[in-house]
Amino acid sequence: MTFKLPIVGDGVAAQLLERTREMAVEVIGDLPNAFPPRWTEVPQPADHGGDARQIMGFFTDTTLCIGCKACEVACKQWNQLPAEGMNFTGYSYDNTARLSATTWRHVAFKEKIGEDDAAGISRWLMMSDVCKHCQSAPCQHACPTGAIIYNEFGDVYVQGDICNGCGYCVVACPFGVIERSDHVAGIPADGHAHKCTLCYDRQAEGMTPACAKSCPTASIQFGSVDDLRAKARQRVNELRERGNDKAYLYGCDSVGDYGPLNSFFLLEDHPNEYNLPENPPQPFDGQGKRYAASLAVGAGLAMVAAMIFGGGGRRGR
Amino acid sequence: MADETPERVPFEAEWTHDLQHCSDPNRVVGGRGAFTAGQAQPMARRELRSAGRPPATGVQTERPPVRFSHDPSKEPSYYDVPMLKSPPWKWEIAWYFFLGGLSSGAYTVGRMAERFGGKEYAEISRTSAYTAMATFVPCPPLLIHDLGDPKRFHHMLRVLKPTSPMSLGTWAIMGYSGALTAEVARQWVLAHVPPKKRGALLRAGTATAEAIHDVPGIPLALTVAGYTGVLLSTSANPLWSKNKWLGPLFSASAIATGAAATSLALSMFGKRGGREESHAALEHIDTAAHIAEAVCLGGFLKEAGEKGNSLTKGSMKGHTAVMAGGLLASELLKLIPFRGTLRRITMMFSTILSLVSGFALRWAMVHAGHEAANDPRTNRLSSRRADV
Repeated sequence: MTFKLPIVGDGVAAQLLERTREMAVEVIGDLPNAFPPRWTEVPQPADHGGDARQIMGFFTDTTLCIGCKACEVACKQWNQLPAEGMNFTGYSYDNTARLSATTWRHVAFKEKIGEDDAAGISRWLMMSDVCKHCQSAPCQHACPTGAIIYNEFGDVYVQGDICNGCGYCVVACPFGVIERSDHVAGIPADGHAHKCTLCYDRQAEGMTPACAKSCPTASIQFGSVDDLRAKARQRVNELRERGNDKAYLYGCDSVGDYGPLNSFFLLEDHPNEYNLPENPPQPFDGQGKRYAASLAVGAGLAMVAAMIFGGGGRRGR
Repeated sequence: MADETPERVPFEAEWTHDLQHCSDPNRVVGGRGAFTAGQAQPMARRELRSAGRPPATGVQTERPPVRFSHDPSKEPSYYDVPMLKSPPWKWEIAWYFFLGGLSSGAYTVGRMAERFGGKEYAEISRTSAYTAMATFVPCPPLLIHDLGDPKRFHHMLRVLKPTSPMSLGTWAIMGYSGALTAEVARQWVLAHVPPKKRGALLRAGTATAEAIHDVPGIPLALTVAGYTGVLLSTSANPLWSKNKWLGPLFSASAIATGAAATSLALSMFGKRGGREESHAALEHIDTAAHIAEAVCLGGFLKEAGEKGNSLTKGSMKGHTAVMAGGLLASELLKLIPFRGTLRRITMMFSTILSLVSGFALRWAMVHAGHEAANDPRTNRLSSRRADV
């Protein structure tokens, strides 16, 4: 029987060398991506080719959702996203709980048991949540590498070959959608930011995104946002006529001072019931003032230092 | 047996119309061409924000004002699952905020000493340059280590995006590192090459270098000192989001720690522990910065209000106490009227307390941000409508 110390086994040095070589090749292969540094404008749909395409988006009508989770499954299948393990949350039928780097559609379930109506009528709230594809997206503003862009369909898209996982978009998103995939079910992952692409690959071929395609009740509708907004308003009118005065649109128009969303919702209760912010903050507003304040304090203290050094010198003479 | 073909339902049958009540809204007709209708005109960037407002049809589709109780148990929520994602930034970033701020603060103090104090404060400008360099060297590795994909660190340099504080900060760091390296080289030359041995070229070079150190150098250093706070405040995190005191707080702390570190380095490595006047000047700068810091911290907590609970009541409350206590203790130590060696020792303690306070601030701010993001109630609070 022979024992071999695992650490000083054969070829460790060679392996190390090989690893170093691989890393060097990868970094050097990446360099053309990075250089030369260039100024980037926020890409607009019109920047892509001559033909101006329509801005595409989702309209998720929660009054039609039956909670089948077909969208969640279709999204995972098409985008080849791994499962996140088996967790039983105890949140009604929702064992996903939230959107993540590997879950781009999430169906929320809320049982309202006799708490709203005096008559004690119970009802369900079900909503298929997704990236909101904001028209003025904080994650896009935040991205320091230019990985997050608006594609030709007006949707917010993370370029996987550019993202270096700085994590600023995660902090910037007021909806808590985008996430860095450090680990997936405990296994180290690529460390890049991931979120819904609005099935860019399918759209490019003229197909409907997987979730909308699989939705059996047309709760998720895909199309040009102008059409969808008109359709959504009509739908709210219809519901109101039928006596459902709780229905309203979330993100169809600006939410507070936050711009409109390309994927917006028809809701029946307070946004917080669906884990949506009531009034998402637009963190990039007033950025200039905050820079000015911090530079002013720095410059002021530098001036104080100048006075102290200057005055001290005179006293010394 | 005769073949019985099943009777076909005529397509026009009246009841089939009822089945077609909902045509598939997602059916894309005509493939690729469907998107190229050309109806949508490209929107100017300014217009994008106002786009999608309701047309003047009188259709009231906006959310009706929802009143809800401020009693936490009755607040609408989704099983108290946090709305936001926790920041992926960890200890590396807290250390970077501290060391980067310290470095830029020391650089600024050193430049001011040379520009306005002249030869009298030469030891300060030299010590602060070396201090700034020593504390700056670990910064890039810390930042790179924090990335999800460290091999791609250079992707930060592929664009310049002033809307992103991180992009602006990256370029400020690049510029600052150049100015700092040149400053250290010049200080080395001043210290090691006697004036008689300096050639005309070297003399001209140092004069030019001095101008470069001040004109782009100091603004770059101040940007490095303050952009970190602006970066945090330009986020959706409940604790940091849009708080206008955060940038000034980090700027003031950078100057304070810069002056304190220079003073400490001077008493440790300087000739006979540095001159009394040098230490006195640095003390005064430290005090001024501490006053600014205290004001900014007060403003920060006032503006954050309940959202600042993670800083004052969460697991970071000890760090916040250390930060404020360090500030106060370091000032109190300065007031003790000791003389000679005893004074030296108390001053060293004072500078150490100032540094501890600066580090506790960064550590508490980063980690309290995690707690704020993971607290569902704070999440809801930070996105509440002002009018409800």
